[in-house]
Amino acid sequence: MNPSENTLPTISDDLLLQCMHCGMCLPTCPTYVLTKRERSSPRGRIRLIKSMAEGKLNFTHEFITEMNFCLDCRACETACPAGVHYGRIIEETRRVIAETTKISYKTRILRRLFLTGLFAKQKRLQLLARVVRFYQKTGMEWFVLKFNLTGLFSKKLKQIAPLSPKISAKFTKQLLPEFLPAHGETKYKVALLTGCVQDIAFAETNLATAEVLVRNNCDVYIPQNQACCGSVHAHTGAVELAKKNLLHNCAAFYIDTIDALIINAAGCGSFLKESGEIFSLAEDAVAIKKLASKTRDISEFLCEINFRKPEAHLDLIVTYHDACHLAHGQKIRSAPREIITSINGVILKEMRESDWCCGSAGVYNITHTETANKLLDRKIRNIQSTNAEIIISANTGCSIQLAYGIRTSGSQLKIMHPIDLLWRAYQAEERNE
Amino acid sequence: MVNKSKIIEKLTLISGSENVLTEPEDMISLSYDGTPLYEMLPLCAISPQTVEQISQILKAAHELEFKVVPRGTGTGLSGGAIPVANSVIVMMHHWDKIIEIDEKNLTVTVQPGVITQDLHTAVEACGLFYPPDPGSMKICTIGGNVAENSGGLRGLKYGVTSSYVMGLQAVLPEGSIVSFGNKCVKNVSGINMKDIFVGSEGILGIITEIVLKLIPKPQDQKTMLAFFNTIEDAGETVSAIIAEKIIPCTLEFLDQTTIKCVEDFAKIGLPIEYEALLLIEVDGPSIIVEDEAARIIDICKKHGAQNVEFARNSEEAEKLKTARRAAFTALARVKPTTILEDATVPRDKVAPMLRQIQIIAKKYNLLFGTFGHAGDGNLHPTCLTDERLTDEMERVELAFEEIFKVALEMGGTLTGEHGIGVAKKKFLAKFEMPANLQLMKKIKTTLDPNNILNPGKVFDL
Repeated sequence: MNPSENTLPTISDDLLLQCMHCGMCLPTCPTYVLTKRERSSPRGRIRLIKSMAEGKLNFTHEFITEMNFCLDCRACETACPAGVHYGRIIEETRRVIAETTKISYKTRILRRLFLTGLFAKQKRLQLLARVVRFYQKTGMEWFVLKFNLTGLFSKKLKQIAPLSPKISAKFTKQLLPEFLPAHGETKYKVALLTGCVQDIAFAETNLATAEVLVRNNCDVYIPQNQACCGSVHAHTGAVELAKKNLLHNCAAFYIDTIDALIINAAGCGSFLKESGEIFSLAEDAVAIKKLASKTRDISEFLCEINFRKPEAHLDLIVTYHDACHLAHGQKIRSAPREIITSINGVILKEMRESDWCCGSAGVYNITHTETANKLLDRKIRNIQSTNAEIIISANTGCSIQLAYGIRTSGSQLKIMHPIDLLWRAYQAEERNE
Repeated sequence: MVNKSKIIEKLTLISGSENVLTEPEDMISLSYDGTPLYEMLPLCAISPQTVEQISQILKAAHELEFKVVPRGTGTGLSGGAIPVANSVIVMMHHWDKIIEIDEKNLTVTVQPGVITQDLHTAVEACGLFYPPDPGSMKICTIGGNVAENSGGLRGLKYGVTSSYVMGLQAVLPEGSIVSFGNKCVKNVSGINMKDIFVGSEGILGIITEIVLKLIPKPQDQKTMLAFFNTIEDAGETVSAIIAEKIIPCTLEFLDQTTIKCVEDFAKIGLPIEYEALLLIEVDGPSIIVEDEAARIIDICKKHGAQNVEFARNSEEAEKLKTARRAAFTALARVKPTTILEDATVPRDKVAPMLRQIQIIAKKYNLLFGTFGHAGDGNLHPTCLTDERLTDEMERVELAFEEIFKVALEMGGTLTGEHGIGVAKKKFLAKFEMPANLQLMKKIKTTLDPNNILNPGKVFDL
């Protein structure tokens, strides 16, 4: 391809020049630490993108490989004293890659199936989830894994089949009505995004979120016609589809009337908060900006409204995994910890590298299974050395990945969302009463 | 004309194809280091696996007429690791073993690719202390520290890298392997050759192993912040502390521009309304630490400090120092291009030097953020500019030249800890005594008659 056609119009010169290549990001970048290769560092990738934009580098296979090798965990953003918006640079680059490169017919069909099929309508995802649930519950999964049946189809399928999450016995709509009134006085009107994967794999966490909110003076609205947040689409370059979902949700959540849109999956929250900026030039920027500005992570929101501390005592040792899209993407570190330690008897034992990516990183564990597994092993080792019995994680993707790591390491660890823990404490308190 | 494919073939023979990088993507990401404005593509890069392989690479360089540029993690601030024309990068960052911590002799033997902070962590676990702590210590390598004779926040009391190098092994440009010094505290066997390599900026040899001196870890420390309404007050406080015969381990200065940028990044609650602050740390036996801290507070107040605060605990102290180490990069928040220098003056000249930097900035209509290791006179006047503006860049050059001139007139030096490299070689050529320069060049040409190793750094022959 002619390099002059490869201009990245929305990555401004200023955005790239902000990086003064000091190297402070290197030790925090998982792909650099694993490979010790400069081009696999944020500093290296920014320089490659700059070279592309200046026409010094062609749109090579190696370039694309490198851009996709990045986890987009944004640990570098936290480390960067200069405040480089690395996430925006890499995501915009990937969008251009998606638009300009020829992808194989197979990949295109698969992508279309996922983005316009599965993730467009939650019902379709739920249908698939029911099939998987049946597969998991009937013992078929055991049979298939045991006799390596997935391996007959393809090596990749064999690699990724065990990554699939344990499907919830009930989905959110079977657990929650569309509206739950606050217990006592209503101080806040909030809506709850139930998520796509969250809904089928962690529906109980959605229940816990709603139950905790109503116990903190919130009316909770859980519209069943809500759509996926759009991050899956945006991160795979399907920006228009992402925008469609955002606008659909502006209406579905009655964004003008609510005080906050509550998110319990860090990835969704991070994308929604940034969507205002991503679509700042779009026709419907005002609505999207409003959606972005009202988005709150559940832990963040509870700390903002000074949530009620539970009185019950839970005798537990836990450790906390900082989801990238919470710690680096949304700069939320203390709020989940505040919730955890608000519960009497709960001991929070910090692990090493708590803010290191677990390898989940959107679909990274599917596209780059080997690297993802290396990161997962590292994470599981750090978790195990705390001797905690519960690992707290506030992001769907991380929880699925950690569950996989725990299963394969033969550990007895349990995974909970901070809000699951708080809900458990409220429940214990109510039982005592 | 160099024959690139022949070179690659030869290097592959030496270290194996898995250790030779040739892709344009790799070359682009090895075309820079931490220095602004300079870049060049290398021919290729190699990760040698043994000392012998390094020797073979250098011999091949003579045979096939390529240049050799050693590189650690590329955080240098004078361009020491930036490729030159027709050069092969010799990557040393994977030589990252701590070979031995010798608690009986208080030494540590390391490979050059060990990250400085990893070394701190390892020796501190044994109750020992390696003081040099350059701003980039989280990622810079010991080999680079030795080659550049790096300093850091603790230079005032504990000195710089050269104060800790007891011995080293290096491969000379012609391929022979030498080793000078060892674990002996006293060693005067022949000319003190190891010190020729410390601060040699990669032009005299490739360092392959280093023996470093360790000291016992100080028992206690106290960290404080003093805020001032004028830069002069802060500068005079520095000189007053030293004149009182107190040597804090850290005595750092930040001006208002820097404070604002650091706070914007680190969000540690620094007040941004003051014109300057001093970050001061004393360490040693508890009883002395208490006494010195009290005396320092008195001195600060006498010299106009508006407020003096203690760090509440070691965690908070660490946060403050980490934030200070980020100062240079944090200044990049203001403008697209950040050019940092480290003109250094004797300690009694800190206040007048700070004043001069302000005057020069005004004269050339430039924005400066100034911070630095005020306690040892090593200041970092940093120009916040935009490399795309030719006219402004010309003024930046003139301003720095004037800053250097003023510093030298005060009995100072061009660089306290970053080195000359490519960024300052024209100033070295201009301001260094001709006889001094001649001796340096003689040493270079004796060791490297064909000018193979990192040519064009420090000076042009």
